This record gives sequence, structure tokens and C-alpha cells, in this order.
Amino acid sequence: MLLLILAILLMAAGIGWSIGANDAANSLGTAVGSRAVTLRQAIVLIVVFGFLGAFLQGAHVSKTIGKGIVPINDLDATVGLYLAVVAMFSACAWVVLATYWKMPISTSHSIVGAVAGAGLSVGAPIKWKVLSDIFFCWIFTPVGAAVLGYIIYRILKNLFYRIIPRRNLKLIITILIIISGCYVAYTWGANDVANATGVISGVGVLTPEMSVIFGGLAIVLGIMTWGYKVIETVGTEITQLMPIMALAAQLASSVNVHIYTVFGIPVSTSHSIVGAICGVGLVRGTRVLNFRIMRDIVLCWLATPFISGIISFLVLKGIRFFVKI
Amino acid sequence: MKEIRNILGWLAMEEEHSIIKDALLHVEETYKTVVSFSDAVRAFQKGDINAKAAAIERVREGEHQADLLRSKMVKELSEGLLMPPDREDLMHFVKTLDKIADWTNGAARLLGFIEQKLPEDIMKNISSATEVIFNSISKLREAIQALSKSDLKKALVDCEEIDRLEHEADDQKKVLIGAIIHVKLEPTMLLLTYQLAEYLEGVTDKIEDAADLIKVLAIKSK
Repeated sequence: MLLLILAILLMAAGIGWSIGANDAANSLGTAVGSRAVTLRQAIVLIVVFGFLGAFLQGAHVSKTIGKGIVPINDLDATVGLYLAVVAMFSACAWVVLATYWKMPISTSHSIVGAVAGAGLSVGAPIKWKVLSDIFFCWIFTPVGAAVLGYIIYRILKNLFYRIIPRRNLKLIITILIIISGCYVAYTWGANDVANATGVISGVGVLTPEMSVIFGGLAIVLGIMTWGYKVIETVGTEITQLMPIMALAAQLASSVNVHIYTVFGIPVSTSHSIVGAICGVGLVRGTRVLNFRIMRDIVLCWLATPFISGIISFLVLKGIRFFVKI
Repeated sequence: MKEIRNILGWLAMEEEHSIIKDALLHVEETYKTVVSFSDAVRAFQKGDINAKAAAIERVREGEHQADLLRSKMVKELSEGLLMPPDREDLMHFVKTLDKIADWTNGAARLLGFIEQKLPEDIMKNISSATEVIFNSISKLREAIQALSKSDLKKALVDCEEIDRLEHEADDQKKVLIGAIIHVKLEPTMLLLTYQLAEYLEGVTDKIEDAADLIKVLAIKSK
């Protein structure tokens, strides 16, 4: 039993670390690129606001992953623990494999599929309504962000170029970029922490408060050990967004993710930021994704919950073949 | 670029792969121009004027196709909101690739002006220089293929071979110029043949430049 708990915590820490390492750049990367903040300042802000998001609102999505898809807490304690371990293992395994194969997958999609697959394997009651709601929200995540990005950028462009005096423009945009970047970090922490901790709180290994603190710390560790390199690369070398564009994309993405977070829906924050950038690009008539890249993203997005679900289903079936649970 | 799992990093990486795939198409076109140039040299050796003219025309068409590909690659590299981090190196790479086709076309044009049959010694050296160019472009094609498959070790080994071939081309040029000096050619022919020798060596130089940039891209990907 203790081994199972340790394994769950270890994998949760791994997922949290991976989120911190890879996705922290989506919040203040562009602010670093536009020199609104230094890399060190960006890391401090992401750590603080990411952790705050996880701590203050992380429980909404955690509840959905831990109890909303499969009521893990209603299952027999041992069955629940095995389900949790296998779901975490499968989500981790698929993330590692997809990274190796260079596929752009979402950790949120992976964990949702893995929990559902493991639930099916032990014959637990799956809440199909919740699952279908989540699925629809996944479709609307990039689309909604793109629409928001388009609208916000149009408004900001008019506001900044026509109304605000030119001499104050740079300072105001810099301040707003920092604030919106912190908001992205907050919503990212609030929505993504559940990928690492939803199952932990669902199975009752840690209380919901303790689990989001645990997940938040794992994310912070990811940012401090690896995330800073990604922030620098994304901010200074990859994104070619002008400050107003960055501001519009950040606002669109964070508002979009925040809405889902309030309703406790786990969505991909990465898809949200890409959708927002596409929306902003649309106003300027700039190509962001070509058809092949878009097709690859959609395919990975479609495959991820099914593959992680199949992995967890089969692994748990295999375990039940050897262990009586 | 070093691969990262971040979605924006992934998108930039895809852009980079897309450019390298286009570079592969470009080097295929350049390879065809070199093959056509070899055909032109062979036809000239045999004294078949029509075949030589047809081959030179194919070189010109190949160079035009390579030009179109270069424009497409430059456009892809200069627009968009998410860019490959190595775009400056990629831009140099694209330009250098294009120069290979340009110089081959230049050599073909000069060959077109030479109408009299050249002495056997000079012809033999032109043929050898063309063979070195052909070997170099074949290796460059292999290096880009290896780079597109992320086989960095093979890409670097191929680039080393291109360096060696470039030295061979230098030596070959010396021998060719020696042959030109020792044979008494009329001034126009002397000028054209000397220029051809320069161009032949120039093509391998440009191939070596492209190989150097492959090394840079491969080392940055490590």
C-alpha cells in the first residue's frame, strides 16, 4: 500500500515537473522576448502566480479529474489506489513516448483519457456526460482562444494607436504585458496543476489543499530546473510577436483558460495560447500554422486521450490478471 | 535547434524541418543541374553540339527551378509569428544552396561559348573537375538527407568528405590551369577556358560553404 502511495506521488511530481519545465514559457516568454521583464524577473513572477493559481483555484479542475470522470473516492480503497497508480503511469508513459516521437500532445488530454481507461478496466461507473463535456471544451479551447485573440487584438490596436497618447504607449504596454503574463501564469497554474494532483486528491492520498500545494511545488521545481531555458528560447528566439500582439494573445489565452477553470474543465493551456496567436495573426493576415502542422496537432489531440486510455485499460487489466483486486 | 516539448517550440521545430525538407528538394534540383552539366561536358568531348546545347538548356531550367524553391524558402523564413530559432543560419544555408546552382549555370554558359574542340589534356581535366563537382553534390545531398532524419553523425561525416573533395577540386584547378598555360590557345578561348576553370572550382567552393552551414545546424541540434 505504501509503495503504491509513493509511486503515485512520484509520478504526480514527474507530471508536475514536466508541466513546469515545458509550459511555463507560454505565460511570460513573450514578455522576456520583448524585454518587458528579465528572465530572472519572469521566473519569479511565473513561480509566484503559477503557484497562486494552483493554490487558489487548482481544486476546481482537480475535483473533475479526481472524482468527476470516475468517482475514485467511492471505489474500494485498494482498487482506487491501483486505478490512480495506473492512470498516472499511463499518462506519464504516453507523455514520455510522445515526447520521444516528437508529437505535440497535451498532458491534460493524456490524464483524462488515462483516468477514464483505468475506470473502464475495473468496471467503475464512468460519467460519460462529464467526459463528453470535456471533449467539447477541448474543441472550443483553441477556437475560442482564436476568436478572443482576434477580437481583443482588434480592440487593443484601435485603443493603443488611436486613443492613448504615443508618449505613454510603451510604458503602458509594458505594464499590461507583465500583468497579462502574470494572469496567464495564474490560469495555467489553476488549470494544469490538476493534471498532476487530481488523481492524488481523488484517491485521498492527500487532501485537496495539500495536493495542490504538492503539485504547485513540483511545477515550481520544473520551472527552476529546466523551464527557464524554454522561456528564454521561446521568448527570444521563437515568438515574433509585437508587444500589442503578445498582450492580446496572452489576454485571450488566459481569459479562455480561466473560464474553463472556473467550470472545472481540464483543457490544454498550450492549445489555448496557439489558438490565441492564430487569432491575432488572422487580424494581420499572417500565417501561423500551415495545413500540415495543423493536421498533426489535431491528430495528436484526437489520439492522446484514446491512447492513454487504452494504455491504462490494458495495464490495469494486466495487473488484475496477477493481483486480486 | 534543440528539441523542446513546449508547443511553441514544437511549432518552430516543425518550421525548421519544413525548411530542411525544402532544402532537400532544392539540392535535388541542383543535383540535376550538375548531372546536366556533366552531360554537356561529355557531349562537348564527343563533339556533339546539339546534345551539348540541350544539356546546357537543362542546366538553365534546373537553375530556374532552384531559384523558385529558394524564393519559397526565403518567404517561409521571413514571415510568420513563430520562427525557427536557427533562421539566420537557415537563411544563409538557403542562399548558399542557390549559389551552387548559379555557379553551375555560369559554368554551363561559359561552356556554351566554347565552340572549338579543346586539346585533349584540357578536356580530360575539365572532365575530372566535373566529376569532383558531381561527387561533392552527391555527398551534399546525402548530408541534407541525414540532417532531415536527425542523423547528425552521418551529416557531419558527409561534410568532412565534402571538405576533402574541395581540396581535390583546388588541386584539380591547378592542374587544369597548368594545362591551359602549356597549350597555346587563341586569346578568346584562353579567357573562356580560364574562366571555366574558375567556375568549376567555384562550384565546389559553394558546395563546401553549404556543408559548413550543415555542420553549424547539426552542431546546434546536438
